[in-house]
Amino acid sequence: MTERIEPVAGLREYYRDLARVAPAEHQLAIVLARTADLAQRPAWRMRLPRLSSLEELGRLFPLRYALVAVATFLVALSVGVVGNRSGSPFEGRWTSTDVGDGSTQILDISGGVAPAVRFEDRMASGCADHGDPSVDFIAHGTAIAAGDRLVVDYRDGGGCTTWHVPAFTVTMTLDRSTGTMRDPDGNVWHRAP
Amino acid sequence: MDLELVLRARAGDHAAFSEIAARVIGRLTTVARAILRDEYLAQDAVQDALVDAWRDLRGLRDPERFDAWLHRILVRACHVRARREWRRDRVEITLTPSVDPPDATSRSAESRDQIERALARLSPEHRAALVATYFLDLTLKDGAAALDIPLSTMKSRVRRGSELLRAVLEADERLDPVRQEQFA
Repeated sequence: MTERIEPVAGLREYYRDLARVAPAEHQLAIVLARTADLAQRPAWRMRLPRLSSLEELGRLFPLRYALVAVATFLVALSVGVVGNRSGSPFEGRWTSTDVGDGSTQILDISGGVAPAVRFEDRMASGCADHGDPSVDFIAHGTAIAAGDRLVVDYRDGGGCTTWHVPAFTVTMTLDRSTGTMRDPDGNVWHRAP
Repeated sequence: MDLELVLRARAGDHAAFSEIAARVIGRLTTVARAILRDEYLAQDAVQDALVDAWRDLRGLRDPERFDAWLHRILVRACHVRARREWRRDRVEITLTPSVDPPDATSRSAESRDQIERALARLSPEHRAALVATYFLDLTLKDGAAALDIPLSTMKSRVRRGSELLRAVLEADERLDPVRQEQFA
């Protein structure tokens, strides 16, 4: 098939310009973290219909079965079968002492494989250095847990009052033998009592 | 794509998949940006696509068709993300080249902005057909395979998308002198 339709003038150049904008630096790290411990599906599974949306799910399953599934899930939740299943080794509150300036840092991580994360540095020298009236640095992010690694994507960056940093990504590594985590700056994180 | 890498990745070699991901992530991100016109949605779609690709790689029957297969997964991921377009924080893509473009003087920023505005008026489906044809340089047949749509639909989307784009650009041109008068 060699038929071509003439492109709009400038469209190819527009795409070429778009291609010059590099992908976000953390993109690849997140993909690799998400796939590191993800098992490949056997080939026969790919012949099954793909459920890419709730609409398709709705078309495939009659409503009554969906209601039964929801009711079963709610019952399981109420007796704690689902609710206690989290088991993420990262979940909870962690603290560390910043190797750079000795300040106390806190990390709150929710449960699940894609937890919400809150980072706080209570005496951030970066804020002080930039004349921020507050030195309490806070950043909110979302993370992907993969084995002993947690890749945290702080999409909106973080900051104190007037000083802010742009988006950044941090990979935490769990040391199961000591029950601690380590970040790329060399900080060791302990579970908060 | 390097066939040996694809075969190794299909056999479960994650290092080979990492190499593939590093090579394709730029191109996939461009395609996703062109379809979705939203940086965050595009990043999510690319991540979803690569994760799906790794998970389903064993089902790839013809490794030589890896690129088309991957594009199909990405376009599907883009459509899923577009349907869920309820995010509160959207970011416009800034077209600041990371390196000095060799032909930076060949086209004005104004023309680029016009195309940007015109593309915003098209549906993600039309944008996907255009990006497959004019960025990935796929034939209509390969584009249809990549988008998982019939050839007739592909032709119609490329033709209709181009017509709409031209119409919006022409309308923009006609408006331009009026705008200039208003701001004079």
